[in-house]
Amino acid sequence: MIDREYERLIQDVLDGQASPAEIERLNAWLASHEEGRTRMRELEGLFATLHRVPFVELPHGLANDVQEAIRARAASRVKTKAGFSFGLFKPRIRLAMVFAAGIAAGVIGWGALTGILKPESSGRQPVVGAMMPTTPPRAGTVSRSWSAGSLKIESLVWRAGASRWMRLRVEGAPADVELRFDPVALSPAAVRQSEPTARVVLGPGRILIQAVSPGEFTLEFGERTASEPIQVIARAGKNQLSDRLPSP
Amino acid sequence: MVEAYGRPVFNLALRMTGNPEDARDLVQVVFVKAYEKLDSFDGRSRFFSWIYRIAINESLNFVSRRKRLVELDEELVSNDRTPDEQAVSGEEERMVQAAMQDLTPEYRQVIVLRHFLDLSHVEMGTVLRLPEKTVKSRLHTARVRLADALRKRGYAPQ
Repeated sequence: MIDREYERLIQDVLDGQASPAEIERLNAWLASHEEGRTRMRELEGLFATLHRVPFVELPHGLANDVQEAIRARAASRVKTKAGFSFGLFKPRIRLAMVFAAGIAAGVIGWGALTGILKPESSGRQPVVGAMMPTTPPRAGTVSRSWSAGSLKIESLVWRAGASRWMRLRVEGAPADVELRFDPVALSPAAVRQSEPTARVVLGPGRILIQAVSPGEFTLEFGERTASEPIQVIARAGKNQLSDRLPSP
Repeated sequence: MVEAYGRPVFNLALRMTGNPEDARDLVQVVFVKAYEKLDSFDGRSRFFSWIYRIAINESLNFVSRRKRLVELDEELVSNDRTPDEQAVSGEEERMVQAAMQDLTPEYRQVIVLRHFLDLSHVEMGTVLRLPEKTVKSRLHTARVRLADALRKRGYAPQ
């Protein structure tokens, strides 16, 4: 068993932290301690091994990915700042709003339970996502349809406020539909999907929709540059298509 | 920022997680966080210690999340090595990387900062917000444990 003090001293010497006097003291101690010399060799080996571990280069494309992620975050922050926030109100007002919301929820719940308020079923397919306008405007929309074998995609794109909206109807699923866009110009904000089984992955400059069955997808993008198109790439088995969906 | 600090932050993340893909993801998280928190950088410490602190904290969060995941379901995290991982590592590096994962994250981080990023004890203290004495003591223990971990894996450092 090596004395803790010498154990520490060995490391200080190897780490370049020891004074000349400490180095001399360690050498004197090592001269008469075989166990200490073994420990010294072992830790010397460890320092040398760690020194040989290479400093790895940044993987190709990572710097770009980081910059895109930052741009996307910057764009979403601009959008968030413009939106509604409870944080804008003083604590008392916030409390009052929460209280009022609770009362309203209670009244609606009581109404639903007693039958005074009758929730109406739309009878439509299940919907996942945020509240979004379901009807595009009559004017100013751009529509495109593509097909390749059994794969068929109908798209509609329009603008409302600071957002660009896009509706995709995918037939011939299972299919992967990838949307590529400039993350500086467009920032994904919300998605509504008619089929909950579909997987939608949002990323900076890219949205991947993995549709298991035919379905409809409505997407909202925060728009910073109006003219940027969205590239649509779709695959279903051997069928593949790719095109650009221009700005509305 | 990415050009100046991308490489050290990637190396830090790689040595903390032991996996190039996880390190890639972590680098993105770190720089997005740094961008968001840029206002909080007060200039009293040096920029590298500020961004390394974010990287260390994010790595610790990641490692702790991964640990919980493995505890919940061992099968969720594959131990298979990716081709990337195999390509970047020599045998010795792989051995060190594996032994590093045997250390607790607190010991692993001091080895990373001192031996892979070449930070002084004072700089490590700034990054970790620990007194220099604590850093030194933790580093001593970490080295002893790393040497033990390597020995247990049948590797004698030379």
